[in-house]
Amino acid sequence: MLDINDWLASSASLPAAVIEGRAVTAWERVQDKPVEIVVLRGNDELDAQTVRVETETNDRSATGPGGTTYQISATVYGVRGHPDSSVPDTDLRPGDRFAYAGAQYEVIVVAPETPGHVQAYARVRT
Amino acid sequence: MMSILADAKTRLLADAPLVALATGGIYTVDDLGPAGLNRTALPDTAFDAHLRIKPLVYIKLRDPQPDYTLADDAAQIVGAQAVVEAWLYEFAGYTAIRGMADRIYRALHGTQLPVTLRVTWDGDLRPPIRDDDLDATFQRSDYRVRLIRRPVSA
Repeated sequence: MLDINDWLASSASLPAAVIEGRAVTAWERVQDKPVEIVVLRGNDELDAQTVRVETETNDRSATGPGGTTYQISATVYGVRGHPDSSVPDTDLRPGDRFAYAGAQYEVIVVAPETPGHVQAYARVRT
Repeated sequence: MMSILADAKTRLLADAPLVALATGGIYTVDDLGPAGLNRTALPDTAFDAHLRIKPLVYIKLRDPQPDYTLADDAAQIVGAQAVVEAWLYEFAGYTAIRGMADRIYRALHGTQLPVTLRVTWDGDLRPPIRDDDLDATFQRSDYRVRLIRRPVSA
């Protein structure tokens, strides 16, 4: 009979081979539509990174005292733990900003517990 | 009335330290399109390479209201006051904003503009929040402008 405690302990962390497989798949997805970004963290520019950016359709515009800004949401896909050491881990944190295609992206949250890949949700301002 | 803004902008542009601080520019509504301060409309001037707002000044005019300190019904002359609002922006912190506010005070308080009477500082407003859309900290500095409204030529 299955020992539930053993089963829970065994699924607490994925085998390394599984994570690497996920990273390979994630990197293939990034390479389908790669974008090179330079992240600004505080006042520091990070090295250029290759990610995939997918925008949502939930656009809105807001008019404040300074003018009108158009916003949409986006998801930024990266990779983590790729078996090829020449593929660096994607480095994104909440508050990071980068410019792409004439819009400013601000990372709002980086999804936790995503073995092999990075999934960051961003606010896009134009 | 819009000449008040143009004159105020001219006065501010004559202040070299202010121009040096306001790397994103000094604007009135006539300088901006329908979207105002916007990354698509002003990508290289008001925003840096990362599309973060640069320190800048955006001056507006709050419409004049009569105060009847002067009144001549026969000549249709009335005293009025308007407020020039100087909206100051920067990406983070208030260092540039404080510097710009100080220079604007020096340029405007206790002076006159070509089409106005006395100009005086009327207070600052610094909300403890960011402008989430411009992604900026901001402050508004108000300057009260006294003027005389006269009728247009027949």
